Amino acid sequence: MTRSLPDRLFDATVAFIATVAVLLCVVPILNVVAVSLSSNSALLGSKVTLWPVEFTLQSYAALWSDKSMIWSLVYTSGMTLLHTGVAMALSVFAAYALSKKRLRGRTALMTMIVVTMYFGGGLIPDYLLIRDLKMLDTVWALVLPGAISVFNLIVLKSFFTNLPDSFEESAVMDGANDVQILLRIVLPLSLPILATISLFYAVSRWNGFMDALFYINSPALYPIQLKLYQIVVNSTALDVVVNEGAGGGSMNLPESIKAAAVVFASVPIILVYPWLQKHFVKGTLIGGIKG
Amino acid sequence: MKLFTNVALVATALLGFTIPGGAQTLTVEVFDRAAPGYVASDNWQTHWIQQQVKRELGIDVQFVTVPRAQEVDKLNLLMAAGQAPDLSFTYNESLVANYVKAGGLTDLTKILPVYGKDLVKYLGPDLLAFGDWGGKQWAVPAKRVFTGAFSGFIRKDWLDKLKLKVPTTVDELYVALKAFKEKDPGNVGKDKVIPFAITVDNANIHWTSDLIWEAFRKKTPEEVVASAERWTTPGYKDAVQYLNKLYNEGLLSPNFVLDKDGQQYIKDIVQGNVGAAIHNWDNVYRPNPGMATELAKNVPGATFVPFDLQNRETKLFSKWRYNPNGLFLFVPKFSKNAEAAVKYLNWMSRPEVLLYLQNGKEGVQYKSVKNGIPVDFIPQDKLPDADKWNATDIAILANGKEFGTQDKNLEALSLGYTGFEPLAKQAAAISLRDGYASFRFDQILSLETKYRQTLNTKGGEIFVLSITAKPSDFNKVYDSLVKEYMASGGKAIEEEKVAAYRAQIAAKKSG
Amino acid sequence: MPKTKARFSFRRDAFLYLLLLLPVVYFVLFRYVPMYGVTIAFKDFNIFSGIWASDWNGWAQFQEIFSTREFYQVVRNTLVLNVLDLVVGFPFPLFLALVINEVRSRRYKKTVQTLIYLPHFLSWVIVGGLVLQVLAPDKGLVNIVLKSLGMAQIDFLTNGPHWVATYVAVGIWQSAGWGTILFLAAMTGISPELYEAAEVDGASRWQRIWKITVPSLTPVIVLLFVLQVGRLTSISFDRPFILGNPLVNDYAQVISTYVYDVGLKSMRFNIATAVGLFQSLVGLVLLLLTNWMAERNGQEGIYK
Repeated sequence: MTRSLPDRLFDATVAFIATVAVLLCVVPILNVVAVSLSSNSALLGSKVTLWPVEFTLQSYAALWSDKSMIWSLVYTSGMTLLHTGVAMALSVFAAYALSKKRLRGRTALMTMIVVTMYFGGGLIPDYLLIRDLKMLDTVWALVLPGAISVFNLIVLKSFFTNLPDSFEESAVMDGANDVQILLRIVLPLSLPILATISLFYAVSRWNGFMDALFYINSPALYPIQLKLYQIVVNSTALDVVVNEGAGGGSMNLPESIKAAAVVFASVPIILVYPWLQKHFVKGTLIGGIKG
Repeated sequence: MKLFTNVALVATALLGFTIPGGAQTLTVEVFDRAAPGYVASDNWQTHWIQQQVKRELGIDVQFVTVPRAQEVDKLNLLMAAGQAPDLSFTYNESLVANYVKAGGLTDLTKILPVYGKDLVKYLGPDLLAFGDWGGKQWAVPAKRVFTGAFSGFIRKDWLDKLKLKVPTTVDELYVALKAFKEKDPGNVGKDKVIPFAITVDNANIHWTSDLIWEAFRKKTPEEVVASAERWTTPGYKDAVQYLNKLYNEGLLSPNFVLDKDGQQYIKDIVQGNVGAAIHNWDNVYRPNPGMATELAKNVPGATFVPFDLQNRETKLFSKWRYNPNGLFLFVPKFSKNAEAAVKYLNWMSRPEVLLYLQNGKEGVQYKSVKNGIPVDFIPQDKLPDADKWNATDIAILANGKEFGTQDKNLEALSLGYTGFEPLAKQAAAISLRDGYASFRFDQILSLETKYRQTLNTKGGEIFVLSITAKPSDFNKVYDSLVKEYMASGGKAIEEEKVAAYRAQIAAKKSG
Repeated sequence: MPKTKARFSFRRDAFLYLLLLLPVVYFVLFRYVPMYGVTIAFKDFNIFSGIWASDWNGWAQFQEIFSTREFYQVVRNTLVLNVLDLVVGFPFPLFLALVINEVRSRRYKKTVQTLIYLPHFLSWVIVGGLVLQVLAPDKGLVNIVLKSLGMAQIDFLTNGPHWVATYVAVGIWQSAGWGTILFLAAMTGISPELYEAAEVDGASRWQRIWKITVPSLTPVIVLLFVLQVGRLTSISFDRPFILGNPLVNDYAQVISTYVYDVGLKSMRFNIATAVGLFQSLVGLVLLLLTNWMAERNGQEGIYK
């Protein structure tokens, strides 16, 4: 199979650009990993660039030995799955319904939804609501309030709108009911976008921690990123030193632990996308059948 | 049958009266610092407290964690929702002032003398005044055991090589810094040597140069000292000009502007490139991050010794130091347990309680006792989880170890710096010498809270832009930026403070 | 026939309304119920009295913000940075997605896809440290390379205009890879037969991208563009705060850092809310305007 010269040149250019992009993204990550595996002395000596210096697993050991970290990983995974499930269900329902042009009140509904992208109560009314719903210090405070992202909703709706009507119409003529159409036709055709939006919800929930800071009191229910944030921020805050004064007894955590915490908390979610990529391929196959 | 039930009824009624009816509950705030393996609200210290307090006072104590990193935001939210712990606290004075202004705190003036006799005796009226606004006791200030803040540090080995004395004036310092740069006694490389290291923190702009500011300060009446903003204090402009000179001659950290978290400062010192610095008196000797130890490993023979600077006019070694107060402890207005809170603090003020909470058990948290002071503390990461502890956040009445007398406290302090005790002691003494604290206003200054944050940002600009300007542009840059600063609230704050100062002095004279 | 159709559509519509039930409950409960919080902007808010009981003070907060010079500066800076992000940064995810889609080896394609979104997962505190290591004067990696090549060093972080470029570039680095995901997902829906037919017709790879791939992505592109214009008045706090320093205050002080100083740190929630309202209103207007313009041009906006 010989490829023409312009074709080969094109491929080379593509490969080159892709490689540059990959390097730009990966090299800094290598630094973070290297820091997490280096000794504190090496770090203070500014000796670490891309490779660990004075290799040590000390930081990871410290994190791993903290049982609350492991628990938090498990708990955060479960909580993220729950949130993604709820969010996808609600978002798909709403997006599908709103994608139908014949729906009466569609424009009004869309406007009301878009308004919520811009206007909201703010921290205090949100907190009071969660409190009054008795969701404070429970998993639900992290799962429900962010259940629908208007951005995700709009993107989903746009994809549903762009699905050819022919499939639905022929299914209707075959006597399929609404639930069957949604489940057996629309959703399988939309697998790539469903996988993408699920990823968006999952990553956003996994990385977010500000809401947990305010709604959660029990350390057992802290998402992993909240614990990470506290580790990274707590130790060097100058205002801590200023206010609390000099003197021993402070629980200062070294740079390598911070880097290790970053790696520790990011690895699980980073592995989700490659797993989801399978569904992209599935969607393509079905798209091929539709012709 | 009827007789039996009657007797039973009477018996239960009597029993009900003899058993202390329904224990009081008290919620107490505690900081969570995300220390691995340690649960702030559930550990041997909290258990011991709960046990003791239940037994002696009949109060059920519950600890509520607030993350240290966002303590102000979280506390605000809890206050707004009416859920803040009965005994809450913060280091942030303007936060407390805001709560007082908004009418959100319980007035403790009448409760303290009744339930807090030991507490009042421990703190003393001078310290208690720091929690008094407008004549009422709104907060209980914790005691800051050691009020020293700053010391200078300079490389003794470099001075010795150059046959120079430890500087005591800004002029001598300049000579030493210049020699560090030109002669490079440490063989670091002329372009790598940093004679004087500084960092920038908008909220505490003087943190790495305080002694220099104070050396240039001109003698002014107390009213000016109490009310003037930093940039308009007589003499301070000269200090900034001195720093400008240092910068333009290559004697300052070249990238100090970018060092917002102080990490580069630490690295420069540890790698042996820095000649001198000014910081917290124990900054270099602290076991964590262990700058002096790491430096000694990297550059054998390298030592930092403390130095002090004289004021040009008064010849005193003036410097800023902390006020005697630390944490502010208060009871929200919506709390029903103000008395229990005071009783709790009263219990905690007992010397044996403070001693135990601040030091732990012999053989577990520390290994031995020297001159009545616990020494050889085991580092947290070497302790099993169940034995991990935290003095600062549990023993909330005192910032720093309390052993009863000033001498003992100083002694205990220096023992925390294994390997550097004599140097640490010297630095501690320097930090106290001729120190003065900020004037304490007994009224709330509303303009201060309104403008301080934006002014801090502007102040950072003045500092950075003036120092990095060309020497010929210095006056222009400094003056124009300060003019803007004053117009954005600086002048208003000064005027408010002058009025408050005069009122306060007048009241003291008559009252 | 019409009768069946009418009955049909009512039944079908009923199903749609049923689907909408839970989402509407969600919006009403979690978004509209707390909305009374916007009134904080018009009140002398006392956190102990609560929002309802605090006194109204009309437009006082707005008068205050609109009369301070700093406010206009931060609005200007916010718009400048966001417009640059839009103009310079918007094409990158699309460009990268197109490149990745053309990678021949399926394994390499998957690898690239997985690796380029990694920067999205780094918190800004870490990114700040990395940026310093790479772009600092003297000791930064880039400047060391420049000096070894005999060129003058560049003040990426301390010179105003250079800082702006750095800000945008770091933003692109952090988010472009993540942004490709949506485009790549959309591309899987393009029928391969279209490409085969074009190849038969003699179209070059480049022509195929331009005439097939990009047009198929137009709905997504327009949608994302409209949504991003709607975000021109809002700006994250972390990126300008972490990357900024006093030397570049004139460029780096934005609405979010302003609110942090004036509103939140000074505990003046009513100012913070007032600024937020201003941002929201302008942002919503921009969104609806851009959406309308897109629809007039025959494109799909957020309503279609």
